Amino acid sequence: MSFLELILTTPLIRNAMIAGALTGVCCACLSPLVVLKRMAFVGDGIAHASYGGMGLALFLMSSAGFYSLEVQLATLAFSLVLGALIGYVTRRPDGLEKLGEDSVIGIAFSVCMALGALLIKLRQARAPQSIPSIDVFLFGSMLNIGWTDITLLTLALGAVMFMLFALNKELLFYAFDARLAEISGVRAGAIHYIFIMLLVLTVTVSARVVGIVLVSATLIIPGAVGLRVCKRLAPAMAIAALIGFVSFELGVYASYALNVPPGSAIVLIQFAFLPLAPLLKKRDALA
Amino acid sequence: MPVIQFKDATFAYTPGAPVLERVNFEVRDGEFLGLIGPNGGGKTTLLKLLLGVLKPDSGEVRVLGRLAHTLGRDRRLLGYVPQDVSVPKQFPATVFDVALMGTYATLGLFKRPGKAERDATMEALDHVGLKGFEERLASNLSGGQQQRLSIARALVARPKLLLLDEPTSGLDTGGQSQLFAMLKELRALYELTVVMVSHDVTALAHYANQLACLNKTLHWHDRSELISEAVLRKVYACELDAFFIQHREHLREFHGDTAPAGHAHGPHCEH
Repeated sequence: MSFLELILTTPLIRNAMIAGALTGVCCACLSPLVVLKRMAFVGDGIAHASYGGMGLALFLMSSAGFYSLEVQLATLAFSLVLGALIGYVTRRPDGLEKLGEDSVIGIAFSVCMALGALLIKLRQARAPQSIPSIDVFLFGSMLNIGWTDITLLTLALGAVMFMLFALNKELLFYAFDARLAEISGVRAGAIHYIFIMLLVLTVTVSARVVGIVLVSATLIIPGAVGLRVCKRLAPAMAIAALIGFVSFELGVYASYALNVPPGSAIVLIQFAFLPLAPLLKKRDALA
Repeated sequence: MPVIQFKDATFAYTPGAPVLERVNFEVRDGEFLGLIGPNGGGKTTLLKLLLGVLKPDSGEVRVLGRLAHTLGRDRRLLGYVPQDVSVPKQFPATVFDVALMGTYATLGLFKRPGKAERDATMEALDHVGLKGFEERLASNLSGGQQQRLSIARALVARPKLLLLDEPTSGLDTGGQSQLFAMLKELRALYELTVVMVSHDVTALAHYANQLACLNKTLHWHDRSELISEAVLRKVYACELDAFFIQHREHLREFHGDTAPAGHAHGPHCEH
């Protein structure tokens, strides 16, 4: 049976392809801004910290399953609150009094993961249903994707696309110099929080499907390539989105054809684009 | 109506240690105010109060008749050229894109810059001598060119007031005189009121109508009344270098009797 036939006949493979495409494009669209704003660690921190939200949701709703919608929404709510706090810390011009923003994010990251692990253990002791190991959180489970995931991913992609389109000039000025944008009358403070919230939404919804390691990679590598190839932000986002899409689809196929983990295949395919970037660059790009 | 009005403005980052204390002055339409003073004397804080980024603890700071911190989107009436004008390396924007950013606050959400904004941008780039560079990657410009780009960006929204924070610090002597000559033209073209913070006392004394020395309190000088060495010593709290003292003689000649009759709007210092 060819891979195409397999996609058409096997819902699990089909869902993996659809969810992969949505995740790849969603994360990759934001990645040029993540790279420009030097927010790679912010994205990574939010991704890891969402495990705390998942643990809290599973602990409080002891009858809810790992893949249930309510757990996903509760995790999202937790991450949004945490995102608002991270947004506040990263916006302070002088950082917190004694800690830099990287330290604050690092603390949130590790404390939330520890909290998540603890609460999940407590939940398992109380209601011994099977809860997947932390591996699923780290590396996702692309062959366990339902329509709930696809719907949430579609909504996240819709929100990202809408905001990137609506706020494209404000986001460009914000990425260029947030303080100058604010002084010039552009509401850079609001843009900062909107951007962090988009990151939280994308990261939390995608992490459930592909795992936080892959989310972190896709928030950086496609953007880094796009920015090396293009001299304007919108085309850089388009190139990044294309790399996101291609790497996820090829990665899922490679996983089937070569019997390798899809996450590894996807990250390595993305990485392969980096050395190609100078070749794709137009000669006048640096004129 | 004065373009800028400070009334007893006091500001402290930490209570009890004011950076600015009871600052009073006015700048009228079309004036060029040079602001000098030692590091930590409050120059940047004064600019931040003007830009509405900070709010005075007591007193008032008015720009174009309105309280500076309530300007909101009307901040576009203030063109601001920061001290650091460098474009992040490989930032994905052309020279034209960066200058066009100056129009963004005048447009709402979803609105793309139209012909009027694009024309204003081309015009401003032309005025600062960057015509022909529009499609270059902005980060590939030289330091001096990036500064002119920053001035173009500040001008595209047709501000009433141009604020420059130490624009001469990264320039050589030739670059500095070019900058001052360009500002002179731009002032006339855009009918601007200019406030420039600088350590370059001699150059400011050449081009500014008014000079103010700031070290927590403000010492004001009209063009007709040159800063005395005593005041500068007091403000900078150190001996002036020989170069400046030499230059003062030249300045005295330069201003001579041609200086306009006194139009003091601020308190004179007690020298």
